[in-house]
Amino acid sequence: MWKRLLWTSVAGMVLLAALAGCGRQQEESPRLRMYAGAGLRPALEQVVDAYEQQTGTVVEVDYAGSGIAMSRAKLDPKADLFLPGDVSYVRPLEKTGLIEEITDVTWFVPVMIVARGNPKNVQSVADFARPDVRVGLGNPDVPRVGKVAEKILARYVQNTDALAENGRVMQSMTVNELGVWVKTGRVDAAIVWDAIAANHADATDVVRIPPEKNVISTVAVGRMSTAVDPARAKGFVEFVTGPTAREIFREKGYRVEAPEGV
Amino acid sequence: MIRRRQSDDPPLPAGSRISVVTIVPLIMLGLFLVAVAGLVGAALSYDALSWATFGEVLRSPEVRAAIRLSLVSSAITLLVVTAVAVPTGYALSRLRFPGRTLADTIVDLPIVLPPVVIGICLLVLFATAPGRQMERWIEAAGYSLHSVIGIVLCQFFVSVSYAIRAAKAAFDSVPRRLEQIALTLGCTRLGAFRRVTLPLAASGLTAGAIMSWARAIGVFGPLMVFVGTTRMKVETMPTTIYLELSIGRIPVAIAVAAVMVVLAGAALAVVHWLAPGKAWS
Repeated sequence: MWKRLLWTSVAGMVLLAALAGCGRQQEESPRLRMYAGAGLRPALEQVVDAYEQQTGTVVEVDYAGSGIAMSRAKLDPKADLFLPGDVSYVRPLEKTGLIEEITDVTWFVPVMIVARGNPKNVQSVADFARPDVRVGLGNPDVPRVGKVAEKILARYVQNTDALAENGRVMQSMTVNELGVWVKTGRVDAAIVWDAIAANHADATDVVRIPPEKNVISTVAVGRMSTAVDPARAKGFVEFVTGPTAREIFREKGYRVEAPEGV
Repeated sequence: MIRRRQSDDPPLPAGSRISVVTIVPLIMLGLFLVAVAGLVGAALSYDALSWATFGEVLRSPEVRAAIRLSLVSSAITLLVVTAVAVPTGYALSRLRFPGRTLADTIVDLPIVLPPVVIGICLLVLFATAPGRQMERWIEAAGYSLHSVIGIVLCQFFVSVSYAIRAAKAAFDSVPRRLEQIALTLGCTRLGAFRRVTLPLAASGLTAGAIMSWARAIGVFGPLMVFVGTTRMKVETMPTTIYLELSIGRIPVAIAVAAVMVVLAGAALAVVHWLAPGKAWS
């Protein structure tokens, strides 16, 4: 027994040492830290990869619902960039001096997604009031898509409180869960960004929300005054709005031109 | 391994023998208590936290609903867990059947799985045809998975393994000979179980129940995946803590956490009072 334990410990330590060695190589390369809205993840991950390959700068991205990303940026401002799901999260930090420069990156247009073939025949946000429709929405305090959905819903449904009765509304921490919930049948319909809908197009259908009732988000990156190397942070802002990044965003279903009505 | 009945050897009076065996454990215990006190103290000494925050928290309808839901859901979970864990633990301890080692390993699986994976498993389960049928039955009965039912499902799978482990250990510690003597004295198998095995295993079973209840009431990750975070509907105390923290209201998050610690502490105290010296013997 002791012998076996000894051998296991030795093997474990060798493995640990090997893993520690692997981790060390990256330590020397320059880094950027960024807080980002979780809805940007499908495209931003690839943009960051492309940036790392081109410049050798490692970008550490902390993805979360925009409300969370904002409070993290406030509580732990030792970061270089802030890219939440809407510019309205960036502006207040500009007033407090935490953000030095704001640049538009993409635009989020809310759409409804339903299971393939639309089995519950959801044609409008007004159908969310039907008792047989289970609805997925972002938590109004956390992801941007939740706050937006609250506004859109108020334009369609008189008594939004009644909707929450009988467990027909499921609220998520990021927009990404909503796609998963529609896909796995947890809910029948959800309000998500057009880009997230594109990401789940394999198993869901899109129902558009008419422009006059919709709330479009402008997504902008803020360069933080706490950036260790402002020039490097500026370099990333240029990259994320440059041709390579725009191509990736477009490919993933994100808009790179302002939609009408913004 | 030889198991000694713990009640046979009372703890050594501290200081009676100065030895590594008495000093080191006491130092370790002291250090551990200081570390825990330091952690809790640090959180409670947070600048913006005041008595007013506690008042605000306890008056808030969201927090009250969350407290109620946490207590109700974890109590239901505890009942279901006990109903499953006692027979399961007994089977693993006393019965010989093919595939026992495999079963033993599977029982441990939920312990090593990150809790969030349990949420994912439930999500996928209810996306399959049998899962959808189950959900239709639940809805036909007038309930929804997106309620205390979904919460209990998450809490059950996160906590049940601890209770089964504890139940198995508790039954293992009861000498078989005592059961056999009871049988020779005219007890039926059920009678021997009820009069001999169960009372002797009671302290271990209680400890296991407390452990799994504590796990259950703290569940958060799978809830976020499987039932969401809808305020006042499926919001348990861990959900409140995370939601409040995530929108930057740190004092409120800490106050809710403190309320949770007090409630859990009170529950433990009640158990000690009901079964003095037994629960953690």
